[in-house]
Amino acid sequence: MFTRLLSRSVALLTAACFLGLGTPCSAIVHDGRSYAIEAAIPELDRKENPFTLRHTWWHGELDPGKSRVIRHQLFKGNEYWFWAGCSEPSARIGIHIYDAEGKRVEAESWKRDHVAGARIVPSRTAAYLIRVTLHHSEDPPAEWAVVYGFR
Amino acid sequence: MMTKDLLSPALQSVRTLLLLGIAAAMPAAVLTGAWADDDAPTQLDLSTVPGELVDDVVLPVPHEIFHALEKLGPQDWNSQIRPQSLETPPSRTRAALLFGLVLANGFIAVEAENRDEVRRIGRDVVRFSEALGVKQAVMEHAQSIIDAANDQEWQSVRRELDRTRETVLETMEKLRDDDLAHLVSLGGWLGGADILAALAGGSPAAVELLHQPDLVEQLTRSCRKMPPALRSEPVMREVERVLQELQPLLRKADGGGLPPADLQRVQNLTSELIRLIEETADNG
Repeated sequence: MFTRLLSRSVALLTAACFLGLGTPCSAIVHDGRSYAIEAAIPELDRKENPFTLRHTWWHGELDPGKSRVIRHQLFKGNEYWFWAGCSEPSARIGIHIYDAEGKRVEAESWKRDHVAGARIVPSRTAAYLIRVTLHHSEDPPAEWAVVYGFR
Repeated sequence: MMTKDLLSPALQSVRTLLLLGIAAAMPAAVLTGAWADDDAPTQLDLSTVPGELVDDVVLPVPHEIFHALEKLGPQDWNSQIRPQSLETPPSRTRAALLFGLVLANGFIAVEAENRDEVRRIGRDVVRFSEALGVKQAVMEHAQSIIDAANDQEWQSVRRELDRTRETVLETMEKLRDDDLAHLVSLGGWLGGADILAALAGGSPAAVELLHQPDLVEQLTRSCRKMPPALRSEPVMREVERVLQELQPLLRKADGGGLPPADLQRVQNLTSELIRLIEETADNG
């Protein structure tokens, strides 16, 4: 329990520090978003050619086995990472990217319990479908958030 | 780092330590704790998508588009700068659209690495945020924009412009000004699309970046959900008309296949709409 609390505190503090929160104009604090940003840090902190994090994000609630789809415009020439985070540390979440015809098109994807990521190098400039699925939750519905970065 | 001027020295040190620790630990964690996720369907049943769609439309920031354009070769960003300061309109509808355009101009000035222009835009951000009732929320951002421009830290200016936009949207949504928040986004998108059309110059790879018909459709749908009083304002009627005309044109840009006459039409539509927004501002 203590480890979980500590892990959660570090995640929130890290994400807050990275975002420069703690100012009067800080964004809404959302655990899922903080975890998603924590998962993004290695790509944002690259010494060469790091990803730029967008400060816009999506969020909502999901029951196990259910998915939400985000339709988002991507540009050929850019490379994108989408990171999903779930507020409940014991949850399991996944994220994948599909084109307008429904074909899965991400270059790679990974998942680790309540965080997941998917990367795409778009072959076309178009709207894509980013699908978040909650695989497991001990306390449904679970809060989720998605952030993204590009380079 | 971007946020150094917002945090106390002690907090900066804590943040630096945390970032170093996390940066060092994360790749290992990813390697050991994460696994490739291949069990999702390779083909999505599109009939299920409408029921799962998230309603929120997130518009690309101009930098995101310019970044892709920049990869196609150096661009004449200076030629696209609008150097004059605009009067603040009494109408909040126009102020919202103009605020979005100001932010788009900020991204252009950053691409051009034009320090004086970025500083002027930082001041415009304060003026227009006052008209929208969100001045307090963006004051620090505006100062950061000006400071970073003084130091010629262009990446910091870009991030601060994005943060400004996000702060304005969040603050307006808290104030239940969702419609005006949407217009800020729309103004920013319009500014970016206008520059893109102007710089594409017939290069198929650049023209393809205009392939945004679904995004325009989402924008149009959002406009149609606005209250009748707002939709009936002349500037909003024109916004809807232009979006409607743009959508089929932008659909042709798939693969860069937009004919030159259509590209010219796109540029005319976006430029004329921007001029109208600016003129209505001048006319109060």
